[in-house]
Amino acid sequence: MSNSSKEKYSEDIITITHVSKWYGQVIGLNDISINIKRGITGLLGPNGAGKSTMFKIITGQIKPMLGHVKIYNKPVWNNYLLWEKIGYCPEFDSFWSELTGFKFIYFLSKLHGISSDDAKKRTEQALKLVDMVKDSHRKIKGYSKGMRQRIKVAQALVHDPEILILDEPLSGTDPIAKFTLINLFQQLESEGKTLIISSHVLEEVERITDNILLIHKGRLLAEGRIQEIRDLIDKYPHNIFIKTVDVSKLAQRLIKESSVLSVSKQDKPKGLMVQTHKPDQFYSKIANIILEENVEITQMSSTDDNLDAVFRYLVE
Amino acid sequence: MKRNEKRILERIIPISIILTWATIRKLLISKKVIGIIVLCLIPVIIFSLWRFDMFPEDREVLYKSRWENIPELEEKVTDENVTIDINLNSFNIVFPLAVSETFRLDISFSGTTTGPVDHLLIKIFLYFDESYPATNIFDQISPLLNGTLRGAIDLNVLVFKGTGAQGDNDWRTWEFKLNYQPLVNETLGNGFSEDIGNGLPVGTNELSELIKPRLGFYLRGFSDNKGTEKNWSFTYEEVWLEFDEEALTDFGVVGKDTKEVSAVEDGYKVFFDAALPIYFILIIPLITILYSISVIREDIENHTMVYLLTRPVSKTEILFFKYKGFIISAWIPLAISLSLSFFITASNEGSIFLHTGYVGTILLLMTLMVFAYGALFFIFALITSYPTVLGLLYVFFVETLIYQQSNVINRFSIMFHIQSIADGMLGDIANVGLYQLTTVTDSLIILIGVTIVFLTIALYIFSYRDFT
Repeated sequence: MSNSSKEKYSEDIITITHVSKWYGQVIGLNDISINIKRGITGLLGPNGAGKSTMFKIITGQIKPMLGHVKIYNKPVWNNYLLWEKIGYCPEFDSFWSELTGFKFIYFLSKLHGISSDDAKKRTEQALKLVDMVKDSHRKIKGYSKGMRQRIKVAQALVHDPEILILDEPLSGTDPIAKFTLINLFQQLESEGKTLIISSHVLEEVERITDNILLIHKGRLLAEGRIQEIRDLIDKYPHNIFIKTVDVSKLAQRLIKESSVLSVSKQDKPKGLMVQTHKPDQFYSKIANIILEENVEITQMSSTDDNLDAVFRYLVE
Repeated sequence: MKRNEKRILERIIPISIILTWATIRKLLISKKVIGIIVLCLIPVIIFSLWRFDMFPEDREVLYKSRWENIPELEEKVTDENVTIDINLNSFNIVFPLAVSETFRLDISFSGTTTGPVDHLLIKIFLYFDESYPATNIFDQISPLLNGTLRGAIDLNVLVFKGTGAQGDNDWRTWEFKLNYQPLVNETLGNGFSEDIGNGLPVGTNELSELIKPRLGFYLRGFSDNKGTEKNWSFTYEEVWLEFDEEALTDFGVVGKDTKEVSAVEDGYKVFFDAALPIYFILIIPLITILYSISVIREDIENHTMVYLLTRPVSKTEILFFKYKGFIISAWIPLAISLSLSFFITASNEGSIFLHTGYVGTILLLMTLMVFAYGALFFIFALITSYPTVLGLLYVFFVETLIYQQSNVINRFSIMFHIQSIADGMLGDIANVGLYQLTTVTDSLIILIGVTIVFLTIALYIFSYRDFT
């Protein structure tokens, strides 16, 4: 890496200084100070840890009670013009679902004050990046969870921002969508963009970056020490939910795996809850198992119970 | 112009268009649009049916007043050859409800006589229901009181105007116009005045609740050529108009015979007495509640507001363009519905365009209401999860109950100022004279000011609350 590249990558893009936020008696964030540099930063923490609060503060949607946040050395609160350089993918699975994917992104791109032709071009480019061109003229309400996640990411990309803030972008995605999105994030990183990606699943974040921020109960627990977290997490049983209609067939096959501790059926939604103490091994094998058994799965997600246990351990 | 300012101007136009259109489009495709169409169509259909006499019985209900021939006087017709026909042209009576307000009687009618009539005598009575204690009121309105009828005001008008071929002395055709508005000399505050001179009772008591006024008049024809010792009375025709208590609405007291009043005027009366209150009290508030709350609340509840808040668009712009979209969405159906209702009720014999100026005034009133209510309901949508309930409670308590109070508190309602403007711009035709209202200019300034204040509060809340 050249000196100028090194300088470029060591530059602080986002500066968070002693930020605290309370919701009544509940602490959302507690005296957090971080400098985020170019590249991908993973924000890891269980549900309710404060990830979304931190994102809302970083993006100026809410004001911290103490401290301040700056992007490119400019305060974010009430600085809406910064949004020309930032793309944000929210956590909520919410849309104007009567719109098609194309119109949804086109409308949001128009809010950047660009011409209709330019907005169309950018919309097409963004859809291409998330591999949603084919289905872009269908209404969003007919999309699968994975497609909706990709549309959310596309709307964050449509104005070609320098910074991308993505709140649980891989949550609920199928393996294909996950693969597409992870490749996209790494491509964007190679283009010199800054990405902050939150997740409560360590494996997901690990596949994207080794630079993580660990947050729990509003406090920053660790920064950048992914191997330590990995060692810890492997000690605890790991729950993975697989949404499938071929419940019995897949259960019989999975229980034979040495990495699987237990398999239990779930009715709503219909699927299997798999407990494993070797998640890496399980994830590496699951794709082959699906192909061999010819079963259809529509969703695979890790619950955060195990991660919460790790966080409790860390806090203690 | 600095580069930044130019850039802001360049982006604001497309952003304004796209955000406004998005708001309108969202409202157009929402299920609420069905409710809006129904609300706008209901009065149009009702008054279309009325216009084409589809349910004449309802026409009676709208007037809540009727002619009655009561009671027979002692004097009888003395000459069967003389007849008098009366046509009521216009009639309006306004009762005072506050110390500063005055009684007003406007009446106009015309007629024909047959026989040797050389002058007419008209007697006009205004008297009040017996349930009202006469001593409290009628002792105070002397000398106009005539004791023959309990609590009556008796106006004797001996000579008015003949309009036949021979001019004022020709009584084959005649016309009569009376505008009576007594001066009030002194008042006593919360009650009726003691020494009112030639005035009529005034006070803060609500006459509409206490009395049942009746107005009647009779006409007698005289001829100096008949008889030698005295003027002979040939005939009289007597009509009585009795007001039901329900007729004393906020829009004044109007009584007329549906058979006698021309259809054009009849239509105006129906519009201003019946249609306009339906719009003002029911349809405009409901449509503004439905649309303004939906514009804000749906994006908050569906978590889609975040997509707007994470674009290079200020919160002021988001709120303002949403407001603009709401105004256009609510204004268009209301304007169409109001205009249709007006032209349907007022249309007759090709004369519907005679008073199109009224339409402009009515649309102005509607616009002011939509602006003010919309801004207020934006606040409700931003501060509570149940803005519709809050909006309905507000309309019921403030715009209906408080507005109807006869003291100064009613000035806190938007309706009061709408009524003031209506009174000032439409005058008698709107029959809003029950209250002494503020001036048109004052009320316009108040309504515009209130709208700006509401929008500023809404923007402040929108800027600081976490809707994500």
